Amino acid sequence: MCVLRIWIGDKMLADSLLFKLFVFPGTVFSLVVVLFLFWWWRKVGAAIQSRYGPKHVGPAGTLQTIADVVKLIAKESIIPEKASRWFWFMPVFSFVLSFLFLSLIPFTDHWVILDFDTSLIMLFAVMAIEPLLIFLVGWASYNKYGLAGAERAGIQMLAYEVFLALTFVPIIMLSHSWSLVGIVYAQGVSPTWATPVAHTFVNRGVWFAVVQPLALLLSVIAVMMAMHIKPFDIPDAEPEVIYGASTEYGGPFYALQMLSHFLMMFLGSGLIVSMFFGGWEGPYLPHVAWFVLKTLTVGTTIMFIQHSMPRLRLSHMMEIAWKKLVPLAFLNIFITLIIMEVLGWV
Amino acid sequence: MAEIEKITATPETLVDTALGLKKAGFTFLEFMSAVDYVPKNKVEPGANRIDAVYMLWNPGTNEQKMITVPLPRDNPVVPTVMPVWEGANWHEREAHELFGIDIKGHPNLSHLLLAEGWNDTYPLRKDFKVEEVEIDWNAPTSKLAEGEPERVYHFAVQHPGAHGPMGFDLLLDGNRILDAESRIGYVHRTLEKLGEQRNYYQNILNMERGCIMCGMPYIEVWARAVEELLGIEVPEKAKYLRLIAVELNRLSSHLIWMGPQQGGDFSYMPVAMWAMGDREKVLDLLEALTGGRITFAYIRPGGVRWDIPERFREMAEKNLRYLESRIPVYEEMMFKEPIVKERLTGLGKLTPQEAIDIGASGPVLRATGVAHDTRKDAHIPIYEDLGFQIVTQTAGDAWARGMVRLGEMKESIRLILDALDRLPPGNSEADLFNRKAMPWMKVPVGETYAVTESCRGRLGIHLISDGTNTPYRTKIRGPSFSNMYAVEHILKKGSYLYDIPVLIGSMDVCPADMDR
Repeated sequence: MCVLRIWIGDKMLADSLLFKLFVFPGTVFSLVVVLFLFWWWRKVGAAIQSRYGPKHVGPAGTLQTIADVVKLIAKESIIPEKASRWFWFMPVFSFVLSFLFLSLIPFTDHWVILDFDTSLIMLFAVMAIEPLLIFLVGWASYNKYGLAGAERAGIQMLAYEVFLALTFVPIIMLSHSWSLVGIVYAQGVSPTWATPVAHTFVNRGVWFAVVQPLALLLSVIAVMMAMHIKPFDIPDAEPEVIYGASTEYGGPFYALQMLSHFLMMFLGSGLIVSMFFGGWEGPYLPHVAWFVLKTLTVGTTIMFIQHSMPRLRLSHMMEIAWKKLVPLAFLNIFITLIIMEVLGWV
Repeated sequence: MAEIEKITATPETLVDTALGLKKAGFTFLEFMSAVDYVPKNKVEPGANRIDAVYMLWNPGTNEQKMITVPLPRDNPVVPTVMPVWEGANWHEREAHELFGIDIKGHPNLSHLLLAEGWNDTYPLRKDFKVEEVEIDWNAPTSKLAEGEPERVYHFAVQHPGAHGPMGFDLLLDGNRILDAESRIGYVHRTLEKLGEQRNYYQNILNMERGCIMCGMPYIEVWARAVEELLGIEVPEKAKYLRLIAVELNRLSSHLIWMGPQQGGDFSYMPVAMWAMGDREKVLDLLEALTGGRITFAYIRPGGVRWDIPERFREMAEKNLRYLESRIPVYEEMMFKEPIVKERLTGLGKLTPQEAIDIGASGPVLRATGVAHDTRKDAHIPIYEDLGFQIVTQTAGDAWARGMVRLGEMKESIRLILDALDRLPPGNSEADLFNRKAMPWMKVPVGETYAVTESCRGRLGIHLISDGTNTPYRTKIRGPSFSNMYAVEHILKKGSYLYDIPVLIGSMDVCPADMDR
């Protein structure tokens, strides 16, 4: 740990932005998490489907992901003849984008790269770029199934963005904050806001998962839709559109995509933890450990859903999203409003 | 079913004859094909003609009739019977490319099983020479692609949702299918021609390759066809063992269907993996009984290859009881799961009339409420003694097809266990000829048509013998051929891209069985 105590100017190295960007919670840590998560995802899937999963490379197959990534990077990156020159752009930029997402997620109130009053809006903006990228790339790869998958990604984005935003409204109302760090504070007893704020929900030591179960449900669904996780992996449904927008991407491009997919999966779970499960708050263990543990628990739950569900039909997904989930999100706002009015919370 | 009832017609009277027969109840066209008689043939020496053959089945009375239309070999022309039986479409295209019979009035006579640029050589004619074949590899692949190739989606072969080497060219508007054209024939091995070049014994292996998922019914029906020509009666015990082998194979095939095929269509991996895992139990039984897990060569003319092994009864009891306990699990996971139910209900709906017109059979036909199972209709030995029940559903959609297959699995388990209980003593093979002399076994001149219910539907073999040790003509009616035509028929009525894999899956189309 002595590395962390190196001083740069008037700051410790561990406090510098550079360290946060490249070591923790930035590049190095997230790569380790992704490699672990990929292995864990396979093992969970294998357990559900009564298989073994990876078991030969490393102890219990833990190094399988590294072997796979090395293999994929060693492969030739094939670019279709008629593809646009922006072909390489998507995997690289979506990797960058997932790091942008990472920088907004508070591991603790200290270990957060970017935190400002309106980070939730920034988060929506980042989440909305991804499907646009996918659409761009579906067109750029000059593949019919790529385009079909891109269309689906667009349709799905329209379906989830609306109720994702609506789902977060009650949380913002209750926590009086547009920042993720503020939302975590609102759920716990933190040194900064030591006592419950009068006439609000804030700082009562109650998780939003308890008071907003409907919002939790909706946001888990929305995150799964955003990350293209089964049963919402319609944009890259193999039996229908091969691999959707990413059909033409192989080798290193594919590796990049898979890594960013798993990073996003981790961060999506992290977002849910921050919003509903009190973020880093917890007794005995260090704060970072609590955050990672909670995130992995939520992530594993999502994996359980993913591995035990069939895929929805495109039209069925739209029906569910527009006819059921959007009204539910509105309903949740109204219920929250009424409760806040009754309890006298402002 | 000894002698086939033949009706001779001319090209002029064919359609009238067909209409008359259809009115008389022969609503089901099993296949349309041909037999090539060159002058030096030994069936009818001196005959120089091609017989167009229409095999009909009367679902009401279970009668079998055959229309033959003798045609000159140099310019065979018959009118299309598509107005009478819609399912004749692909059969006529097949006869056109394999026998060179010109079908007057057919809407689309492009190549179906052979490559698009195949020249005017006809593989199933007796004077066919491989050296004469020339293929123009630049020939357009489909009529759809001629207009706007950019709009045509090739949902075929390499596509993960195409269920093997087959598929469609699709004209799409967003996700909606405007037009579809089947692309099949990628695994066409001219199994029928191969059958004519091998002796009756080698043909056991040949026929088994008809469908790799469900080979046992193929050899069962082959053995029965040959036995009919030879006039042998197999021992009672062999009949029981055949039933056990066929039903075990049906179980394994239906488990593949439920898991990787139908479950895989919506990436339902738990069911896919569990079904494949449970299939191992069936394969273990098949291995114990026949020695093989996928291809068996177990049933042969005269009986079965080996007798039942010791302790097979206990093993079967254990494995099949386990499987029986799993069926409610699958029902819960697959057919009562809301997402799956939503995807399957109402998809690919066929009315009983449509299904019979197309020639669809097996679970596809029974899901429409038509209680026809060839095991019962054709009086296949033992089934009726064991009180075989036909499983039907009425909805006619993909969900109903699945439920029929699930019910058939239950029925198969019951049949196998009952058959094992009642297994008579005695020989498992008729003591008629020397085993080692089987390759030289000559079969008297004759013609027969044997049918059975394969895992996918009505499977038939039309066998003509010329008195030597190789058959003169073996026509295979693969059930998937007609069932795949039903898929095209449904797609043309209007469907969506995301429904195609599920639709093919629900028909349980086996490409090898379809292309032969």
